[in-house]
Amino acid sequence: MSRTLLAVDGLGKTFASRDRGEPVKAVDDVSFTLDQGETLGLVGESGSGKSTITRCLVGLERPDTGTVTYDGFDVLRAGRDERRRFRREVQLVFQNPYASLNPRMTVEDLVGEQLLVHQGRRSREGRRERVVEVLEMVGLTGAHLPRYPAQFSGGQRQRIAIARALVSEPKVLICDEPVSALDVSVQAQVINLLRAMRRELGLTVLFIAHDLAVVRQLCDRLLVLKDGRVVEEGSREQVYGAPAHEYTRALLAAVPIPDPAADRARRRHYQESR
Amino acid sequence: MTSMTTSALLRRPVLRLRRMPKLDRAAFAMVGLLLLTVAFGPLLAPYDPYHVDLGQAMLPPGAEHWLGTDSSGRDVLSRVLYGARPTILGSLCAVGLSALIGVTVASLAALAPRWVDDAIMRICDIALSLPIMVMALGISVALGPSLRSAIIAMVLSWWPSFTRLARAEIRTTMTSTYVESAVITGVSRWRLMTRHVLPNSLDSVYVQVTLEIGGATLIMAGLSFIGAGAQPPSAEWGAMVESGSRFLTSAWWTAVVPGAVITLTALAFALAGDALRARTSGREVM
Amino acid sequence: MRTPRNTPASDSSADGEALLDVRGLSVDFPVAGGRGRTLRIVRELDLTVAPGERVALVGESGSGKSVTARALLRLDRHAVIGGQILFEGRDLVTLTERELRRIRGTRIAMVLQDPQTTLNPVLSIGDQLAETLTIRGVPRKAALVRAREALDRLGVARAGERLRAYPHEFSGGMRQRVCLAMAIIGDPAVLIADEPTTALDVRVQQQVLELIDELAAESGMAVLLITHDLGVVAGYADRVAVMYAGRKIEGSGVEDFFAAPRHPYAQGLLRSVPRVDRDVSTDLDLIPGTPPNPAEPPSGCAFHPRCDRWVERCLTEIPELRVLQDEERAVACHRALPEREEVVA
Repeated sequence: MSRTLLAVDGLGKTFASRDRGEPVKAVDDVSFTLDQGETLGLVGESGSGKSTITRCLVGLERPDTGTVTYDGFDVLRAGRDERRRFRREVQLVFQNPYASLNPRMTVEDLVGEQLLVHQGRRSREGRRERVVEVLEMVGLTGAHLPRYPAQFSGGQRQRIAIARALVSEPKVLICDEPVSALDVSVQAQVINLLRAMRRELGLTVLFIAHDLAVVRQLCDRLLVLKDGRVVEEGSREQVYGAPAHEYTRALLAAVPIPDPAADRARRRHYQESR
Repeated sequence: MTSMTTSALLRRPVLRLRRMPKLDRAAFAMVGLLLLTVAFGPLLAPYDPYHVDLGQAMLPPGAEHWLGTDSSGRDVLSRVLYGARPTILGSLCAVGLSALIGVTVASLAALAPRWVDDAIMRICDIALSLPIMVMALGISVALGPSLRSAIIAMVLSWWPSFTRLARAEIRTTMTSTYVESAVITGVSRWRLMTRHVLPNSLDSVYVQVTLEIGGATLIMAGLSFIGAGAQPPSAEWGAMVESGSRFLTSAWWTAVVPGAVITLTALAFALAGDALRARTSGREVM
Repeated sequence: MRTPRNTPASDSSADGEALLDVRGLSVDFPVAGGRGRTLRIVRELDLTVAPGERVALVGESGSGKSVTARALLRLDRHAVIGGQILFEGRDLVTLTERELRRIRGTRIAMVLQDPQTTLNPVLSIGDQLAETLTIRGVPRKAALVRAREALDRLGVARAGERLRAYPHEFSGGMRQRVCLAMAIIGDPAVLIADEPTTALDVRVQQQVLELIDELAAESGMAVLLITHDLGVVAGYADRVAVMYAGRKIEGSGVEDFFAAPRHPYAQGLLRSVPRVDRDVSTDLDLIPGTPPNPAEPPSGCAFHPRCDRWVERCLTEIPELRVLQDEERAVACHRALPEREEVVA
């Protein structure tokens, strides 16, 4: 039986509007659970609130309402030790590997930072050993240790970012659009890497994305967001096979398919099912 | 997207002397020469800069004294070489200390609660609205005129501008994804600042330091000239100009030589700073 | 709903009906601080666009697709352009800047990726739209009327009011519509759309692409669509040209291409794209490695380090783009001929 690892309940966040006018409800009463070992997709267009949810989860933003429960404790009101545990066990991979790596740090320091912060007792050699181990897991080598991010391609940078997240042996990996900034051929490599890591490390993954095609390759279950609210929730088969909500259907109908015949057929299908 | 990556690729970020424009190269060479003078000037000086010999007074430039002698018969070349230390080193100290204080205050402001941050910045605004020369003059007079008080005066009036600059840069860096990533990792505030924020924020501060040294040299010399800085008979360029200016018609070199050196120093640092700025601003660290 | 138009899936320009005929295009950029050294970003590129035809130029970053698009109108001042760009009987490469200006915007228009930066934030939408015409001598009143018509045509509601609005009051999709309106207001013969929907949400992408399609169908305007998205190609192009490391490596009709691409890179690319209409049970079949750095392209065929079919010859000899026998497609690969179909899932 799977047990719930992360639970979000009634999450809400309102931002003051930039110009005059109404404050914007970025996230409005969103609840979901993440079971151990599953991959949940959080799908939505820009302004759907998916980034705000991510930021609330990792503590970059404080929600106005709602609770986040991780492995039995309330993350937002957790004590020092619990919060440290949360930070170690829940890791985030950012969207843009060109922006998420400190350009002035070497790969060794970037990947090893977690160890330094959370397991300061380890020696430099001990840390390096673990860093090399993780680098090899993601398809890089120890030879990359002294290099700087600028010396890597986008795909390799995303591998470094994934290594950085995996080094402290997390239980949950939150991926915020991890492949949307990458080239198609490189995108596939990173998707495969994420699939392999999930399989080999038994990771629980929360996958935030706008690209329904990418989400289909990775997620067991989906949550479709629109204007800060959940409009549809279901298994992959359900959501892709028989979308219940109008909005989900519109989204699915709009994703281009690299196959002219299938593209035409699909459009007809979703238009008729309307 | 393609054209962007291509243009980034075409840019060569490395600071390469051989590829530099001639003017930039000249500026950097001049700065190097000035720093060498600061270090070794006294060793190179042919005469004792304080040796008074009225029999040798106001000799024009010649074989014996390359740049002539002043009204007390002291060798001008030797005094200029000695004077590099108080003038340039003094400016370096003043600007360096200002930058250090500025960056420190800015870092604290960035980590402090919002209202502390705001208060610090308002103080800087007020300090910045006071004319630097007048403020320096006041402080210098209050502490008694000397090289040291000139430096203190300059630091007191200069740190706010560095605080403002550093604060703006730090603010930008703080919003970058890699800093957020470090925050999520749970690094300490000290590590966040020293490893993630400051190394990515200080480029423009370095440039500003280089740019300001030229200006500081002028102010330092200016303070000495009006009697608020280094005092005669010390070999300080501004003081030399001041004492020489009385003999401008009879012995022009006593004022013009140190004056020219001051101008050259200010110019060299300003140009070098500009070159540095062009290099760092055109560069993407990514 | 769009229907695929029946245009000959030919890649040759021999039929002489090409509107835009690019022959042996090369684009070089000077290396900054490189003392006159240049970098060749696009090499020996042939491309034809027939009247009313929709051609897609596909590639990953660094492939040279955007540089090609911009070179057609000579938008990069530093670029050194070689070869010929024949348009309505004239070679755009040799035209003076003045003559070219009369073609830009009126005969050949362009839409860029980011509508945010294309529009001037301090000018109203109406002023910007009208400007395209007033600089060509159309009186302001008449220009504003046509601006309004253009917005109407693009389905912008309350067009009259919207003319007085400023870009920041518009959403991304709306801004791209305005850019489109600016592009078509002069009734161009060719529209070059450089990643026009990359910055947009998927539903807005669909709307904008369909708009381009409708406009092209109505006015007989040809479209050159620059994109990295094979899905977009499948839905909105008649012919496709694939670029890799500055060269065109495959060109054919869209149906043929998606039925069975012939170049190993094109095959790999198509297999790499995740599809929304399919679950994957196995991992995506992928191309190893990363696209090459344009500054240091590999020897011989630029794709050989990532290719699983290379032979000795690929390391030294650059494959020419050849029209395949009995097929209306051109492929630049030494190994393209023997293999067939094994990629089609």
